[in-house]
Amino acid sequence: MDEPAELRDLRSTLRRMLAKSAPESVVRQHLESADGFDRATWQRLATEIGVHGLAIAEEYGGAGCGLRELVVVGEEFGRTLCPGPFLSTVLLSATLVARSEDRIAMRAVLPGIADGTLVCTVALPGHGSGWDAAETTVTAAPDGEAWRLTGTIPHVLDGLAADLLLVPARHDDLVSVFTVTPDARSTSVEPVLAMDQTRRFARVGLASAPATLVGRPGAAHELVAEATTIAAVGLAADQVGGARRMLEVTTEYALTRYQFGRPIGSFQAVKHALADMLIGTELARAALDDAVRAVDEGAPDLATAVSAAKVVCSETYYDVAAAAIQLHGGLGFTWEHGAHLYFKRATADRILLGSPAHHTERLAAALGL
Amino acid sequence: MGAGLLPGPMSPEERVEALTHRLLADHPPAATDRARFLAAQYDAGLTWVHHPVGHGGIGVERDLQRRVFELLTSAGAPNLQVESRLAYSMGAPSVVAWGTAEQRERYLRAIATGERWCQLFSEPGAGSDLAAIDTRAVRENGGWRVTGQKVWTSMATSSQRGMLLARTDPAQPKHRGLTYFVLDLTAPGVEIRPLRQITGEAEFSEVYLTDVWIPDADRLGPVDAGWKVAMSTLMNERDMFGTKATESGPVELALALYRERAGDDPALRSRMARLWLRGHVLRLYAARAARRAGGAPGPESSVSKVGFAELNKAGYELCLDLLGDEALLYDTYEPSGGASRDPRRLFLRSRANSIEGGTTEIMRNILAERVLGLPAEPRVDKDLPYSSLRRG
Ligand SMILES: Cc1cc2nc3c(=O)[nH]c(=O)nc-3n(C[C@H](O)[C@H](O)[C@H](O)COP(=O)(O)OP(=O)(O)OC[C@H]3O[C@@H](n4cnc5c(N)ncnc54)[C@H](O)[C@@H]3O)c2cc1C
Repeated sequence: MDEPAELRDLRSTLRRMLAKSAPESVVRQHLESADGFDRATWQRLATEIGVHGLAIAEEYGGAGCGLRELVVVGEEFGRTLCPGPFLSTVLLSATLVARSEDRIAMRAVLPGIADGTLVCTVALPGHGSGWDAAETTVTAAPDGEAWRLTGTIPHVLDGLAADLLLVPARHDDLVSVFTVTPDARSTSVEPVLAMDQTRRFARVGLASAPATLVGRPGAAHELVAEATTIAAVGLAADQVGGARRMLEVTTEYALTRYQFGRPIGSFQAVKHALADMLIGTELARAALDDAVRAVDEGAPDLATAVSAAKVVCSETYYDVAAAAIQLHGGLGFTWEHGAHLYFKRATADRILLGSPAHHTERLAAALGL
Repeated sequence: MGAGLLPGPMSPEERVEALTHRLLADHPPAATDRARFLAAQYDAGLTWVHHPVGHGGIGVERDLQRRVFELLTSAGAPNLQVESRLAYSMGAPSVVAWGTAEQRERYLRAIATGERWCQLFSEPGAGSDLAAIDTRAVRENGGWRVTGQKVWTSMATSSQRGMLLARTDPAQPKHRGLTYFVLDLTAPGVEIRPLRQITGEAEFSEVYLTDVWIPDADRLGPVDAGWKVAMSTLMNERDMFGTKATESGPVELALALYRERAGDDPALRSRMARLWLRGHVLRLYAARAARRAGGAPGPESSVSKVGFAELNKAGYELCLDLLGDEALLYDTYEPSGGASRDPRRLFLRSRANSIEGGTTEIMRNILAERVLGLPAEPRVDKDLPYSSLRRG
């Protein structure tokens, strides 16, 4: 609509590229692959348009842009279900490391993320509610200059593909973030099947795994909070992108599917359902834009704006994807049609980085209720 | 209980109880071959208690069948209402309403002793608009030659027969030129191709019919009156979906999860109570409707059908929220995983409840138009010859 020219250009470049690198046939190829994406394609996206480093500072190989650009990527990836560790690596890990102001960690991690060679994830203790670093059950013990981590994290996003894990762990009354490079001796990574076939989770066990501290001791709460806040906006973008796609696909179907001698879109029940999908998507977009503004300005209402976006976008994506199935009738229920992939992603997106119930609670608290 | 020793004439309830106890005593399920047990149940009039004597019933109220199944299930006996749902709940009533004496004899006994049927109605171009089906049946020496494609046929791969709707006269308006058949699925020219669905399994199939020959003896109801016969089947299907709500699957499951995991979250507590309430009211409605209807279900069965669909969807959504992060996972997408009762699988499966057996939109149209008498949206194709219609 009234998108600034540079964002519009980014969007159309990306859309063109994804049409080639992530058409539905490719998305489907990865539904059952171990990592869920292809490393070469992931790297190409990084080198050809520099998607992964958009928000990374130039001195670390990025483009030094802000969240606005990243949100465009989130939307386009969400729209195509583009396979890749965008949420785990680009949104969560890059933000966490960048915010740590730990130059050694930044040099070790950010350039690799920016050029697409490093896959990285944050081993959050939970998703729907318990992702706060304080919930971690992993413990850290000093080992000379370094550390050793022990514990289990049940559902680590992209845990199997990750070359590097960022793990909040407890030591001396503090919770700090550590990096762990998975190795066969001290790290066990056991894939668990996700309902959302476009995502991968693994159960990660650490048995005295060698680890390096990131940032200050005791900074985990703050770093994880900042990373999950930014990532929640990126996830909201994924939700808006997916919802829009489902709205478009379903509108198209309502125009071309005939029953009773008429396009089904001429029945008021179908028309109103589509209009509701449109209303939801527009409101979600507004909430997303406001969250982006709040983050970019570091506004005092940041937490509220992000929680608001996460609630509205989660509910909208879920409702829109459910309506897409309904309006496609039997076809929408099949494996062959894409609607179920979006519905499953919407179901997962709802939970990740705080469920609507969790963020509603935060809003209530912010409102002083 | 020895109800037979009570003085005076027995109430229908007492008769049903007494007969069922006698059936179980004479044919202990654990020691009796399944087919033998089912045949004895049929001969005792306990398969469809509301049918006349000789057709698997004893001519009492339909509602009493529930009691029979309760007793049978707790004794470990087969339950056709679960095991061959479509034949039992949709096929049989259509046969009773439209079959000849010979067909009733033949089909009812077959269903009662365990034959499974599927429903060959929907086609790629005809779902909500069922009357637009394109499968053709042409008369040929004492029978019919049938060609066409059906789709979304549940349980086709495990059925012996199919309730088939086909077009016999394309020159008539679409509702009028249809005829209903009971198709033997082993007939040459029947090809069943399983279709995978959202849950990963292949519960339904595409069924291709290529020059399949059906004897005229397997035509149910008059030639070109298939729409009316199909309506009996569909009314009973909606009723079947409606009564499924009384089984309260998602409510029980959500209650179990709630007790295990919910803690003291007041929002979850209130959602749980509300879900129970919806199930409760649907149960009350279904019982009332069964008492009132006695015989064949009418358009009101759409109340239960919609209620069931929405209850199920909301119920499994609550289950998912109760599962917390485990809702992110799934048991298996292998096509063979269908029997699992995993709440996450049931959650995905429940998305079909507002589509199968007539969509919720269509149910609302039926209630608005047939019960309330509101005018329909313009039907441009209703009175035109089928052969002149636009389809897509
Ligand atoms: C799991 C499952 C099992 C099934 N099993 C069987 C089976 O065993 N045998 C069988 O014959 N069929 C079966 N069906 C098919 C089912 O009956 C049809 O899917 C259903 O009737 C809808 O038809 P359709 O899929 O062609 O959707 P369409 O009719 O194309 O409908 C698409 C959308 O348009 C809406 N719509 C259509 N017309 C109107 C209208 N006039 N007013 C308002 N809205 C309208 C619908 O509500 C729907 O949302 C099954 C379906 C499913 C999902």
